[in-house]
Amino acid sequence: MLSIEGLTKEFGSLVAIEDLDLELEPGEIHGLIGPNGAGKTTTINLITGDLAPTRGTIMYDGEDIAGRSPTDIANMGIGRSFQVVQYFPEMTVRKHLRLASRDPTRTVLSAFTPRTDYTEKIEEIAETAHLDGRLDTVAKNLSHGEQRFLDIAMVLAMDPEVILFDEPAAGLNHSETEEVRQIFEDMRGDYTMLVVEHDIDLVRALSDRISVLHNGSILTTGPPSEVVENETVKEVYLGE
Amino acid sequence: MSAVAELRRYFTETKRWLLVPVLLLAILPLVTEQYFLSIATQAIILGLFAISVDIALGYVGLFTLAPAAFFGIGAYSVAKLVVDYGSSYWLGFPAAIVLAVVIAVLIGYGPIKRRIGLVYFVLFTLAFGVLVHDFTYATTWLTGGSNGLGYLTAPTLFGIDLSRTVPYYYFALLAVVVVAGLLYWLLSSDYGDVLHATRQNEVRMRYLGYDTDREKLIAWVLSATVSSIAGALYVATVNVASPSLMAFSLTGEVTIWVVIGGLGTFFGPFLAAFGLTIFESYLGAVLPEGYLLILGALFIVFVFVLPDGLVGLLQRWRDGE
Repeated sequence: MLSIEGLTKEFGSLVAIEDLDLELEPGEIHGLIGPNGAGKTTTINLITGDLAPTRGTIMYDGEDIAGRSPTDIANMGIGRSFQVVQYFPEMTVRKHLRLASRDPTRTVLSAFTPRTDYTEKIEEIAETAHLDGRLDTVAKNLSHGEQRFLDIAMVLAMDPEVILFDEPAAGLNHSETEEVRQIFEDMRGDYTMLVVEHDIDLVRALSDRISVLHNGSILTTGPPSEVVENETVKEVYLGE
Repeated sequence: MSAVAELRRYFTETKRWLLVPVLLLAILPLVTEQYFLSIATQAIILGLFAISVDIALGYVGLFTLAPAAFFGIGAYSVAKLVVDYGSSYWLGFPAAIVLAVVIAVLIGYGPIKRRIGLVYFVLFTLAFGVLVHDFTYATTWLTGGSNGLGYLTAPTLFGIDLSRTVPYYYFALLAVVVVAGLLYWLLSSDYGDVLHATRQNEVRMRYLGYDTDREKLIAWVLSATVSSIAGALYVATVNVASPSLMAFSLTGEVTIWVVIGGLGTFFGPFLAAFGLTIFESYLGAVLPEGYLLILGALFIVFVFVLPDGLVGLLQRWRDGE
């Protein structure tokens, strides 16, 4: 599905990502954990085109997408959420989901064609993302937790194949985190997902496999039960 | 529902209320004198000019200081063809559109594609605006220099002499209603939301798959083109295309109208431009230097107290706040 080989990102003399290999299997939830500064967000930024890698390949659908623009990569079917939630503060939830649902390559001329009705799709996604009843609320008036759900809902509305989540539970309280877990459970199997998250209990509960990132390289990959028992992982990340 | 609430709903939730100002403007010649009507003609055209600036500034967030340059390009396109080449007045409009599109693409492509940032974009468009203004002084052979290009009047159309005040008023009103109507329809579609969203969070839009550079460039060219159309309509009301139509003061004025009307609200900038142009003509008779002072004061009040402009004020009234 998505296969990364030898990915390296250097910022001057600083090597943020070094020779990283990572394979996402179709339909899996793949956790990516590691200490602060390990390169988790940089990895997402490299996959989604925010940064161009120094070396390495990112194969997706038989094509090396390394260095392509975020717009191109989004249109190829890779969506992402953000560590700091990103939304349109003055727009309603409904408009967010409409913008995310429509074909973004159709620009000004789309006004001359009939308006596509996304009502059913928008309502379905709102239900999945626990935003039903909030469709006509302006985004800036949502709670932080709901804004996180909106970020997830927007990605779902894009109909992506692969979704990269950058700390989807950051800043959420216990019950909101539980809601995020439920949302992911509902999405399980429908998308291939890479989840960067600090809440280790959440990652363990969700992930089919976990990779541990340390100093820009993958330390180990495996089922959650194996990874958390790994002695090196305990030492460098879990602090045991 | 109370009668007041029902009235509010009728006028604000449906688009039928739009007929009211259009009808009022249509009957204006029946109830007013020629002098006022010539001011009203200019006010309507300047309203379209304000809408054009709102597309760039209010909808997509491109803070341009070049609107007067494009307004002037439109005015000079018509004047040049009529005065120097004895060509048809009507050819001036396609010329104004083509010239504005070409220049807007040439000027806007680099800064927008390179994402030079808000401050540099403001400075870049300021430099362009000043350059175009000075160009008119420096190229007397082309633009008539400080004297400008004149004298021209609107021609006869279907036997109606458009050089007279009332016919030109109706012609300008029709042209503005048609152009503004098309723009409103366009900006009420998903495209308007694409522009609003790009202004609010460009990064998020890119990750939703939108080519925000392209959307901004289209909005920029559209804005410049409508400014040019407004200039082309305006020149027959003053009979001369002169450098004052490209002056920075006009850019400042239209920017203030847009802010007072409400950024990204479409009708607000029109309303502010129309109302303040009429106001200026009345004030000119009693307090000639007072207009700019009052405009400046209004600008400060709106920026600090009513940042969502007149339309925001009306929306609060609608919502009963």
